[in-house]
Amino acid sequence: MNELKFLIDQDVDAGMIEAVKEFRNRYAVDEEVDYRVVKPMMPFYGREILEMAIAGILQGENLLLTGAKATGKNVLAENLAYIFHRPSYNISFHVNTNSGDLIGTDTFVNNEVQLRKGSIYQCAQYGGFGILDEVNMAKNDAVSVLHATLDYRRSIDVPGYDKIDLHDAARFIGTMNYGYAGTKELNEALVSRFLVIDMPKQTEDTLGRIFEQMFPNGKREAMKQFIGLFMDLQLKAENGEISTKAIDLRGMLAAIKTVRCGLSPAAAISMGIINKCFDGFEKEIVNDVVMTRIPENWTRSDIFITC
Amino acid sequence: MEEYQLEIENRIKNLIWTVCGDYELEAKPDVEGFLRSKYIALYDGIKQGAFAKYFDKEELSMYLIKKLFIHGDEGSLMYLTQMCIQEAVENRIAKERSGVAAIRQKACRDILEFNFDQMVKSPLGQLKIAVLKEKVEGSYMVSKEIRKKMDMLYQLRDVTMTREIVEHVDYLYNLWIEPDYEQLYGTLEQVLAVTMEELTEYSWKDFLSEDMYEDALEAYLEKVGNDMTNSQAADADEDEKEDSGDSKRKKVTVIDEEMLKKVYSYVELNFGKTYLSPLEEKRMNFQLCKGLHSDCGLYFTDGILQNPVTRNYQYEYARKQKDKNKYAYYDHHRIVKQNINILTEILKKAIVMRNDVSDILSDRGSLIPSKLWKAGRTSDAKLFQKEDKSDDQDFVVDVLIDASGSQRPRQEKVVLQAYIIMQALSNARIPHRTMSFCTFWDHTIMQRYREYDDDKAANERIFEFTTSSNNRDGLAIRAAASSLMERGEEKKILILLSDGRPYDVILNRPNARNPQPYQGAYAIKDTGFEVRRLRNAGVSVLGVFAGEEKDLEAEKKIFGKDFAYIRDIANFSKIVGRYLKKQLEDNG
Repeated sequence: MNELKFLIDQDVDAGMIEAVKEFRNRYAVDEEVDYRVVKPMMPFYGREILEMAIAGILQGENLLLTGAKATGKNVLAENLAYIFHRPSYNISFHVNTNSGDLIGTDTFVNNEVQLRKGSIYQCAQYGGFGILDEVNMAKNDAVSVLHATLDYRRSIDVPGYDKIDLHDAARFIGTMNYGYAGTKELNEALVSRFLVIDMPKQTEDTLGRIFEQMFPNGKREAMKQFIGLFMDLQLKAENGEISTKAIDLRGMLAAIKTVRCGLSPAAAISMGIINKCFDGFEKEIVNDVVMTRIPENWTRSDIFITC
Repeated sequence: MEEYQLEIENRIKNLIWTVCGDYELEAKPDVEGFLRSKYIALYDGIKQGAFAKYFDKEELSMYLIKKLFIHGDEGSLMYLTQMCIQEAVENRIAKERSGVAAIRQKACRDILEFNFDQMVKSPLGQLKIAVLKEKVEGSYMVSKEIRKKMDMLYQLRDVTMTREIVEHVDYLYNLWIEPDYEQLYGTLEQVLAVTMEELTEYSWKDFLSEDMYEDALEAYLEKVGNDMTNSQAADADEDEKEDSGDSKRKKVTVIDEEMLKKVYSYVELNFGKTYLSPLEEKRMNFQLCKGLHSDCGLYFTDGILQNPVTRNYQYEYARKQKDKNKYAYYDHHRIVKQNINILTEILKKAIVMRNDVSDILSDRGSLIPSKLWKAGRTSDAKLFQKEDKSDDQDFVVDVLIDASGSQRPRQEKVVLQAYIIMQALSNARIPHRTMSFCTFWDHTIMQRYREYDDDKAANERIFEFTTSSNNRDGLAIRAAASSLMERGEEKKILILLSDGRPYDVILNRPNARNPQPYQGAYAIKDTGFEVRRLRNAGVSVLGVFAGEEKDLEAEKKIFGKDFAYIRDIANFSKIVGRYLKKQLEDNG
């Protein structure tokens, strides 16, 4: 199976891969939501984390992925949905997310009042993987819905309708990042309904694989510089010299993509990384780091073998 | 200008850390050099970082010290070392970081441009010109003699051990600068055989300025360590040895640093440890201690009772004061409770009025039966009602209390007033923070009692309030406002409990920072300015005046119309409540 090949490549326990296959065979995906089974932008690298996550899901548990910026929380969540071949539902939490959005509210269709199903409802019904993005931003109203959904009861009571039970294959994967403005600590009752995976920061090895996957025709030397740049910035942020604004893997990948169509690498990086710092002083520090890695006169041909 | 220099210093330091990867490394960036040529300074930073990464800085500086101890010539030795280091690290770092080569190019060009006149005068300088030219232009025609020297220098490109650099430097020094050194003073082995005891006993007076003291050796070691990667200082030295020697030596300002540290640890002893990380603290100071308040520092703490360094006199005193405050509370228990209730009531009412959640018609939500006739008759499907909570209903309050010595007589009263406000705000679920401020030496101490989103229980900590020293109201308001402005709530209120007497005058202390005196009309003007600045930024500022009647005028100047004069604590909550209510309603 193609979806599982990268697991084999990473030496993930063979027994687990077998179990995943069995899971996939046991639960077929409803045709209606087949389009929700999406191939993630990039595979997740990190054997240990994958094993932890897969084991948790096989045992019917929900996962909470915590970690700093750019540790691949969402990538892992998307990957898991793909590995287990389940439709994924992305639910972003913000101050105005309420129970109505999650379970559903009344609406009017074909001259009659009907339930407009919320994302959690759909996820429960079709046995999807619900990715609860920034779950620590959830307000009490939304949290109360999660409590019943996530624990052993595995059921949702929809006011005015009926109680529905969660599909056996339904799982929820929360992601959270401490340190963003507005985020708060998750309450204990909610945390106890998850298995928590603390995402490790990127290493040269994992970044190397990501870059290789994203830019197969990238020159090794150039890729090494980009990876080095990311590591430099990560270390700098860890030491508190800069904020995490510049630690932006998405931004860096996007910048390298723009180089593909001819933009100079220096300009691309200033778009993808440097300009993300709004503090002028921090910008200079980041710029200095970039300067030691990416010469101004580099062009597309310094980065890609063929274009 | 000074702020700018600090920023540059930090910038170059960061570059050094980036290159060597060790954020513990002590680095002394060349800020003046940066102002002359950005690229030279940046490239020096890179070299410094790279050298620390690949080699043992200590070992080389130790050798240099020993060589100088045995009559080596400081200027030429440093010059030579600097050139050797450049060769030793440059290719390696350029290989690791692709951008370095371009920076080097620019730096070399700048050095040639700025320092050419000085370099051309000495044989070593001429050698350096040749080396730099070759770096810039790729190849450079020189006499056979110089080419030979260059080749000897280039041998350093392959070294991997610090010891090899030491050997090279020593060999070249003896060859080019003092050919009879070995005969006169001894070989490399003999130089390295100098013991620490001998070095420590030596006064190093000739190498250091007068204000240096005991650990002179260490300071000099540090200086040597820094100078050896600095290409500009060495050039300047060569030429203007006499006067540049002086100015350069002044850079070693160990005593100042020591003094600053002493003041800082004294502040720690008096007010407890800070809750900010060093970086956050640095940043706060950068941003806030400007203009009038430059040379001041801000110190954020949770108070000595929360985070003491040791159990000292101040700790005991704070504990006693806490008990006193508590007793005052017990004595006035009933009045305080009543006040809290009144204020809570006022706030709650005002909030209820505002919290009318607006309902909007929507195509989902809860059904409105009276609209059902539309079904099937019109395409308008908005038969539902949906709650629309707008975000701009939010309030946040900052309570800032003057904790200077002049408040001491009414310390307990101030505590009770603050407590009433805090409890009432907590009851009304309005996020609020409480801080007090006083100025001790050059530090303005911001003591925090509760954070915005803390639980009601945290309000008890206000009883830890003590007063001492001076007050720099303007800076304190600025500091409190900076975090208040970062809050997401639309409506921000700052309540300032003070006695209308900003006062911070300190005696001139040798070797410490001396901020400008802050008192009288001048200080009132500055405080008033900060208040108006905040009001312009949309923050409602309420002054609660707790001082004596004669200072009322000053209070008026600071706060304009929005201030409350509390004669009797019994009326406290009514007056403050009226004001807060107005603020809550105004924005409806």
